[in-house]
Amino acid sequence: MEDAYLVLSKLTKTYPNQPRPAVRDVDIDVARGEFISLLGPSGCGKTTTLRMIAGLIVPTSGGIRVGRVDMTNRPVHKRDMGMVFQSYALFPHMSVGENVDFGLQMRRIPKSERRRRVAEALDMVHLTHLANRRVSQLSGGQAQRIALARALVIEPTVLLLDEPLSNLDAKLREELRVEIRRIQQETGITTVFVTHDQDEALAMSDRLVVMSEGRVEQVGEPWAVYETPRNRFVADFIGRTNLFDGLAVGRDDGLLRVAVEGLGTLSVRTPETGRTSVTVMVRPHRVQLEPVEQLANELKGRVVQSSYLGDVESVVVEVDGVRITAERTHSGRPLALGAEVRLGWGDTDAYVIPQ
Amino acid sequence: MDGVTRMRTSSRSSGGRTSRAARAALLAPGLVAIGVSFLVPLAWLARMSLNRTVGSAELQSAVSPQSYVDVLTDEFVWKIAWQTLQLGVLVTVLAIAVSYPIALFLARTRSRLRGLLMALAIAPLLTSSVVRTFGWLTLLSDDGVVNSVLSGLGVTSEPLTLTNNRTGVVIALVEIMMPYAIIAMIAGFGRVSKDLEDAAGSLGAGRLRCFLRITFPLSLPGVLTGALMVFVLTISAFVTPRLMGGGRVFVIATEIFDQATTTLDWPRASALSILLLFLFGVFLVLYQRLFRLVEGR
Ligand SMILES: Nc1ncnc2c1ncn2[C@@H]1O[C@H](COP(=O)(O)OP(=O)(O)OP(=O)(O)O)[C@@H](O)[C@H]1O
Ligand SMILES: [Mg+2]
Repeated sequence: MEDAYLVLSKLTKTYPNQPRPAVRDVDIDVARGEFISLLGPSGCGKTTTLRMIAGLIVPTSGGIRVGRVDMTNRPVHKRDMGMVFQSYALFPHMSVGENVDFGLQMRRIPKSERRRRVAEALDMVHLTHLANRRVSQLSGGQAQRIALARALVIEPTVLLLDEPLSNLDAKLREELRVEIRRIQQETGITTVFVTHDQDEALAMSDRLVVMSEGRVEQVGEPWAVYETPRNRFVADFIGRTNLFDGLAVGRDDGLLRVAVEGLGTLSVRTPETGRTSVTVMVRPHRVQLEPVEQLANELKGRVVQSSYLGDVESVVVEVDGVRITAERTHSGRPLALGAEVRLGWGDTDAYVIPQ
Repeated sequence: MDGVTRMRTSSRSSGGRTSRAARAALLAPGLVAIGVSFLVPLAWLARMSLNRTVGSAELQSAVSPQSYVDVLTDEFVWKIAWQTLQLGVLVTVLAIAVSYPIALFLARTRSRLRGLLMALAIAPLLTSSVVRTFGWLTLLSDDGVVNSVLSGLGVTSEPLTLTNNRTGVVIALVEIMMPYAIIAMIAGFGRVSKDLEDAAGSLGAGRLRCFLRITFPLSLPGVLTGALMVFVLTISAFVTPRLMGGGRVFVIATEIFDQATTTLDWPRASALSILLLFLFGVFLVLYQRLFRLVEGR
């Protein structure tokens, strides 16, 4: 990337007495003002990566650069990065205002300016009225907003957030999601956000970094990662999905024909892959039940499972021993178990996973 | 409908009664133990302090404040009370100062040896303070290890007087109090946390400022608890002042002992004990005030 601002190169961390690195050869470029999410299952190395950026963990090898400045060996307190912790980490012996003021005090900023900036930061998170509160008297959502204000008031080069919303209930989480994104866009701050909640990552980020077992699996815009996963892991991890392993048996007119056991031959519109054994991905909402039009792939099966979720109905249909998940959005009464249904999808609704 | 409500209410209240009874039953053994081993002797002590001594060591049953008047108007008592307080403060400050880094380290380390180190830190409690005092006597006496080394190295020509005086008492007491200080402080370090220190670091605080502004203030509850523990144990210590002081260091505890066993003035000894207890009370209240202050409530 030409205007990369935060650059991680070959970042690797092996904890003492551990056989395998927790983070391995991570290369990520983040543009100035970009909001990037590190997403992956528990233990995949998200926190480790974020803490290396912050300077709280010393990398075993690799480098970290912000702008033109090499940060790799710079101690945490000289990095000028704002960090928000999962536990909020507000100082319990200080008031809300003192918490926000702390970073400014450390920078020996004159008192009048500090007062102004603390007020601005509290205003930004709409909590001006809580300035004199004790930290123990805050709700979880308020505490997290204060933690955000405290990290931003120092005008850091980079904002780092480690699962900041995971201790909050669903409703509040969604609310804060929007708020964090709003503040991030207003301040234009380069942000790295760690989460294992894919909805959060998809909704908030400019780009996603999907990680697994210490490695980066894919980097891309949310829609691109969702629609065109680079490998089986990403396809499976992001969103619900149907994956069919099969053999490429023919090709005509940009249409790949894939033989899948139990399903016969499927047609997928895809560029040449040059592989014979392939995995076809079909997202459940692309699968139509009782299709009215003619589709490139049509099958018949029996309903074996149905979960009514309100806005959608998730239906599992068994076709000759193969289970296919479909989503009905216009549902009404859920389908009965054992019912015979027709289902299908178009040739552009499927995607061949490259690896 | 009415019946259901009534049934619910009655079952709830009977549930409450059962659990209250159960709670009382569970508390009973402890309460009995405290009552028998603490309150009864205390009541006996309070009663004894109101008796009188006539002539030489003849106990006379009475209800008289005479012992208290005697004690409180005795300049010698004020002097040793002052000395006791001084000793208490000095030992507390020193014991906390040397134990603090150890306690902080033990509270924060993620080392696999943590358990072992913890055991080592409190292992001295396995031997009685009598034994440890004798240990210090042999180390610090005029021909003890410390003086032999010092004169052997030519640092001193005359042996330092480290026993039979206040210095020896302080040294031995500080060491004896360390395990208590360490345990009490670790227990009180609950609010010290890695995340808070990391947060301070990310906000620009270097190690020293992080310690002064975050770690130390958050460790104060532990420091206070440790200080109270050490102080109370020190001002009531008897064996070490007696043995290390060689009869030349007087504190309230040694005075009580002398009054009870040498002078045989039990009412006076009891009155002194009650006064010492009163002193504990004062410091306990002081401690609670301070604790609330540092906890920021
Ligand atoms: N201090 C440590 N010492 C040894 N191993 C560690 C340490 N911290 C983390 N690990 C290991 O490193 C791996 C990555 O941990 P990390 O905390 O970065 O995961 P994560 O992606 O943040 O997971 P989660 O979503 O559960 O927070 C895990 O296997 C973890 O067990
Ligand atoms: Mg984590």
